[in-house]
Amino acid sequence: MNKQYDVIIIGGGATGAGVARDCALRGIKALLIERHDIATGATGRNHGLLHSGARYAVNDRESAEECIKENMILRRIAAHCVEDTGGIFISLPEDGLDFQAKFIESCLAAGISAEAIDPKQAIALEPSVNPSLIGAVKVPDGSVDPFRLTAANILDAKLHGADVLTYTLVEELIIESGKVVGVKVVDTVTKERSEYRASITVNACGIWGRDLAAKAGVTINMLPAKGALLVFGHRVNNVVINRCRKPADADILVPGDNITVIGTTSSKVPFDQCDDMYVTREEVDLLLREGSMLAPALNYTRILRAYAGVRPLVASDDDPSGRSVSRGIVVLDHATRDGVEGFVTITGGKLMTYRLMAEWTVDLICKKLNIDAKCTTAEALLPGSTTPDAGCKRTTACFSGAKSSAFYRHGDKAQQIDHSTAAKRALVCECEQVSVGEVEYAVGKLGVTNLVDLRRRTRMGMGTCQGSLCAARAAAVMATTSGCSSAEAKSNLKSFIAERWKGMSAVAWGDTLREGELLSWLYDGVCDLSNLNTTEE
Amino acid sequence: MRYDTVIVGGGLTALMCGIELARNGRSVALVTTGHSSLHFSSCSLGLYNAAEPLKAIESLPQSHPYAKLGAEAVESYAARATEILNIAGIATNGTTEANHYIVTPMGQLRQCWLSLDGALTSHNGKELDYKSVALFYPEGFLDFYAQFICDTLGAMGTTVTSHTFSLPELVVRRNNQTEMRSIQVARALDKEENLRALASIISREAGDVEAVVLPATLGFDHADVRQRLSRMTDKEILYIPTLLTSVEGVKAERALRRTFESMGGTIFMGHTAVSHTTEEGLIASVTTSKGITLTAEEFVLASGSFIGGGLAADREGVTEGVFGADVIVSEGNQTTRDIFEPQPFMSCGVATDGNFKVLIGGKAVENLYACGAILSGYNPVKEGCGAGVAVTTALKVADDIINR
Repeated sequence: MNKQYDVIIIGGGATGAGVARDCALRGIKALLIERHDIATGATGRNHGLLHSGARYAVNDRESAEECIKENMILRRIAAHCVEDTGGIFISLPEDGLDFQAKFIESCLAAGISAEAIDPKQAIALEPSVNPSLIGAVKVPDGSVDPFRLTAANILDAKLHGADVLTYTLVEELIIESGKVVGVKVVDTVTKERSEYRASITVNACGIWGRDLAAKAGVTINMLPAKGALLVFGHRVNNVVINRCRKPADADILVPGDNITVIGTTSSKVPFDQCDDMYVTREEVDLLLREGSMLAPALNYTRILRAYAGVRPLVASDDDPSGRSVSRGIVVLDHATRDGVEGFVTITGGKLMTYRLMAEWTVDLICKKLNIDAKCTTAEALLPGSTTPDAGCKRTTACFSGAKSSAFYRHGDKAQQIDHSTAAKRALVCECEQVSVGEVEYAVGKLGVTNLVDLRRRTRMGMGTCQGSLCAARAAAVMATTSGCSSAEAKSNLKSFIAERWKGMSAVAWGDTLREGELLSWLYDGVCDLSNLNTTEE
Repeated sequence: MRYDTVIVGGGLTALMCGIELARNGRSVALVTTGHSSLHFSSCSLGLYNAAEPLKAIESLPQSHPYAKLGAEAVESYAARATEILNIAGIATNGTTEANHYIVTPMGQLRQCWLSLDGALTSHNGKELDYKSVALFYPEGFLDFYAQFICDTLGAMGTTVTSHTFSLPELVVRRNNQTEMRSIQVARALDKEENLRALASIISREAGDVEAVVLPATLGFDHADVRQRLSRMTDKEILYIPTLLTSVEGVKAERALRRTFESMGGTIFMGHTAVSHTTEEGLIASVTTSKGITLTAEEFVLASGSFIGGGLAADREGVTEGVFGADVIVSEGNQTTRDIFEPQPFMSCGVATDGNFKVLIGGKAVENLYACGAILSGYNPVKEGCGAGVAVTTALKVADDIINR
């Protein structure tokens, strides 16, 4: 592997992946470094909403305009990651209709189509919606899978010459004569240390960017705003449902794959909690209370799990809610801002604008490196979406079973999955229809090193059983495919089960508690993973 | 309909209690949804995880079901349970004196009191009782983790060879992506021609090993498949349990049901008990989800914990739905964030007096008993005592009803 690059990008979320891809497409030699797997931070811990921008139209015109532009771009370049569900903003009796008029006007001004429909039409469009609604507005919301989107960006970056290191932690920035010239890293698995050098180092670490910047002696005043969400056990709604009022907690209900997500809350959390988010009872109460105002069925739908992410908001003042802070994009050239050459921070923004954030960052890089290359990421289609019908097949059941599920997840890249024999077609995960072939593809081509990575690429273990039926199977298949030792595979299985339970324990009642009891019986009882045999290591 | 005793539940506890009552001449009805935790059985029964289980039981807190029984009663009920399993045709190995070890689906050793005969075991927890084994499993069968098993058994000093086999029927099965599961394999091996084909593969490939080991898929409808295969190959045939579905668990459940019914017991299969009536402080009847009302002298609550449906948790707390029995929950949170730490909800259950009479409103109901997983005060997974509590409390309750 090279030791010298034009650009080193730290952070493997959507933004970092987008920067790596943009660099690669412009012929800039880039290395992306991520301490965990890709999309493990805020990227993978949100609604997966393809914002139309309508939510921001009234209060933040700039964000709204960015959203609708990126919305249209993503539908084209990432068709296999996007589902065109459409969205509605509903007004309930207690909301009144005053906001609606202003809302429609603001949407139209920002270039977002917004059509008022009467309550009956709204119910016909989305039968799960609260029937007591008094008004609704149709907007071009959709859903987007952030894991797939990030994976596709990484894949394309690599195809165009970028290098990617996951499970690699940046311990130090190498600073020479006041200039950041590289990084000292440690492989978190092998503990091997190495150094990489580049003309420019990009901080794309989200909320963790504050600590990275500190390594260069730079202060970024960030506000960690926690957002908690709940996943429901089936697809309650087919159209995104929002509340037509000033943005508040738990007022977006997004369908995705086989599930529905309600969110989010917003609360300030200390930095030391950002690595271990836990959803509290109060947050669950709030999400359920407000969520059932959008779709009453949530009151009696099984909650699969709870999760939370941290928004990397750049604070101008100490707003306790973190909600009135602009979600705007922040690009910091630390040369001009702090007198530190060779160091750039990209933060703020949102999943929707990851591509634009990358474009602005790489524009700055080009300027600094005197490179004359135009951004093409708004036109160049992502791997998986390069055949014209990738998007349309997504919503059409062309095949049955694992094949169509794989197509849904990987777009035209699914052709690379070996489904030629019965052995390859055998199902590992029944809830989400993940085959042996797909597991092998994920291990071979998508950089999967453990079961949690595999879950992010394939949805293995994300369905109603939360892994209780498929995790052991997947561990065994992965051990064979990746050649890791049995001891590693079993300890990996144990971590996977532990991780699944973390999200279930906050909502452990009803069937979720029963599933938890089964999980415990199977993996702590029958398999006895508490007492992993260490003699074989 | 009228019976001497009505048991709510249909798993190991309910069947054990039912058989004991029926063989003592009582008319007994079981009300069951038809699912039980035997379906994910480990092919073994745990009494208590300790070097000397009966000794360890003596120092348990008073709230523990074993403490209510006393170590002596645990020992004698455990012996009687073994006898009843035998009557049902379920042969087991093991004693209450000391635990032995069963090989888990992951290839590890796990303590148990009884293992089903034919399960691969270790007497000392350090090494297998066999120095060389050959694994045989169907090609493409994902619920048998051959690599894990080979590596772990190998580390214990046993020489292991691994072989896959294919049979025409399994090849057809595999064309359907979800059909290659334990029950389907077991059903295939029920057939003489398939078993013969497997026997010839084993004879050809196994070589000179002390035992041949397969996933626990040795027949579903026929009890003697293992013995037949052993005769055909002239090898000792053993098995390692699989995760869901546990074929041996389901077979054991069916054997117990047959025994219960052959002794005159009645099973209301597919029924959920939903409500009850009382008369003068006693339970008078239970009504099922299909509208059948059953009256009886005594009622037994053997409906299991949360999985079994005996207990239900909502946001506010834990309840027992049929009788509204008092429920004991631990203080504070019912879950901990690490699934491999003890989970407080595992110890939830109904409150009973010293003789397992159920408390309602703080008062013991004279003709309502509870036994098995619905009891409070113990952690079946961490203590390895789920099956032990199930069978010993079931027999204690049966005894008390017989002597009433």
